[in-house]
Amino acid sequence: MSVNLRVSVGGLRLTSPVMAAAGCGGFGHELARLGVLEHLGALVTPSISASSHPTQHRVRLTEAPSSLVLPTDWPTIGTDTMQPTRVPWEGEQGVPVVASLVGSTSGEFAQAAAGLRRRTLLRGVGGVEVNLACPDAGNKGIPFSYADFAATKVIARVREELPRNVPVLAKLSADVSDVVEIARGCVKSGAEAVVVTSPLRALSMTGVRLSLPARSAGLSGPALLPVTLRAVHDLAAAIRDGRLPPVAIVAVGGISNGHDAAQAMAAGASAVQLGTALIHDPGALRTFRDELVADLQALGLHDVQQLVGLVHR
Amino acid sequence: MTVAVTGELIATRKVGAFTHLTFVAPGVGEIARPGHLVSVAVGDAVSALVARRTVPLHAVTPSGTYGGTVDIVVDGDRDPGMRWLADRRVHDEVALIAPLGRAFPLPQEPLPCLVVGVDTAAAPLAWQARALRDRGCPVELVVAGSDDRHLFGVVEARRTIGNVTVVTPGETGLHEPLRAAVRAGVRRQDAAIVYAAARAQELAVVTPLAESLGAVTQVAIHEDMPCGTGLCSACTLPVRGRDDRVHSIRACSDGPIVRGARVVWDQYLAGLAGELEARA
Repeated sequence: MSVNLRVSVGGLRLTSPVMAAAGCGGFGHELARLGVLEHLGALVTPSISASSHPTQHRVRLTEAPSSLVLPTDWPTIGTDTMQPTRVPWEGEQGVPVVASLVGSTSGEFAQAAAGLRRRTLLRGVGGVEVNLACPDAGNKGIPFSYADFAATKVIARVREELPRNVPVLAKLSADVSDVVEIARGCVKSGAEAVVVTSPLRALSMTGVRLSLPARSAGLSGPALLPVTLRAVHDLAAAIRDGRLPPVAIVAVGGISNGHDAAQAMAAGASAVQLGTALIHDPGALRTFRDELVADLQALGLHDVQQLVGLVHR
Repeated sequence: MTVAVTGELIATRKVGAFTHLTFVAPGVGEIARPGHLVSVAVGDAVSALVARRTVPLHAVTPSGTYGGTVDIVVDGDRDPGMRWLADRRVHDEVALIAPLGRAFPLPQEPLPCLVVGVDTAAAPLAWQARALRDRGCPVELVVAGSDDRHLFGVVEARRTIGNVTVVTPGETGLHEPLRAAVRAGVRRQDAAIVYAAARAQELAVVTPLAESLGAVTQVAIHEDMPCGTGLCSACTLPVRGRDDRVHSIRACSDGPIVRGARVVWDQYLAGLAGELEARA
């Protein structure tokens, strides 16, 4: 029995529901070299900002049980320096690309989006993911994703700058009092999809010392899966109850293989993103499809869309 | 071109404080050269370890009795991931990806070379020294370590290369005797190239000295590389490009071999400072 794995995420059509999470799949060259790029449904790029922002310190990953702690202030690439003739994803191997935007004010997000549009960098970009976990300079550094007003404003500003046929994905944090509230604001201001969850706010220590400067850091990796499932489930339940307008949900955080993906989709996700899993083993992409198909067949399903939101029916 | 395989461990033995492991990995031996890396997924389904461990290849054999093997050397005392690797038993299977990164470049002419290695970073050096000798280069070796148990490859190097200087810490630590050995090694044969494999702290000592003596340095950066494939960007180091601007490269995929003179050592060490302190 053949199984259909095609999905649509807010208008972005994917041949498979697995995406590489922002910053974990590079621009595709590394995964292509490892021979696993063709297994991806889409690739989310590393952080793109209005202007390039190198970091003055080393980005450092530290291990925690079943997870990684990583700094959240990564170097970014600015749309001001990207050359249309040398766009990293041009001539890639046909995997849809989603540009991940960052900023420290809603204006900076809008500038980054405008930069993509003006410099004809949107050619070859299937969608834009707005990373709302960035600290909001106008709100004491509290991430946009923790305040519905701030998140709503960013999405509205980015939406204004982009053509209608480019879906906007709002990347949210699950460690908030009510993720549905934040998602509602984002959807109302034009987001076609919501992505949960950004890394949870964390701190890394070695013995009694800080192993990362106490700047913002986030926790990612397999330990997050139950948190991700909770957030996806709550958003899908809210859509069902009419508390949230219909919107595609993408699960990110702790998804390591096709079986995890099946769980997240049953909870209500239309697609999933792999982040830490690619760092741990990029070969996970090779077996991903078979694992997901096996779970579908065990349920007697022949289309992955039938799995989406299964627990709510 | 890389190979990703689940390789069976067919031999393990202690070498001083280190553990020497041989895995079956068909297809790596045909394309790997000295300096290339292998990235290993450590832990298993019941382990809490997520990051990989990336180490230089010590040796490879093309397809033979076992269908091709790779050898690595690990220091089990370094961290829980390395401990997990060092504790593997024969017939255990480990997921690995190799060869990764850039290999040591070899000179076109038969020039005299000095090869310097510290700790487990010295793993690929006997292989590199043989490759140089096959090109007709006169080769001398300097092997350093924190004590006798942390010297790697001395016996093998003495057998195959002959000219080996062993360096262990003096009263003021390792840097001073290492400096003296490199100075003597370069002067003795008027070395044109110094190949050095070590952590940044030692490379920052060896590189400027060798360059000041007129040698070109090719260094293998020994770093924590959590993915080994270039995806995570957590092993960056600052280098000065041809345009004189400083930019970051990834030790695992853009390195680990770089021209020593290109690395901005002060900035690199400053970035590492917090990590070294936390480890102490």
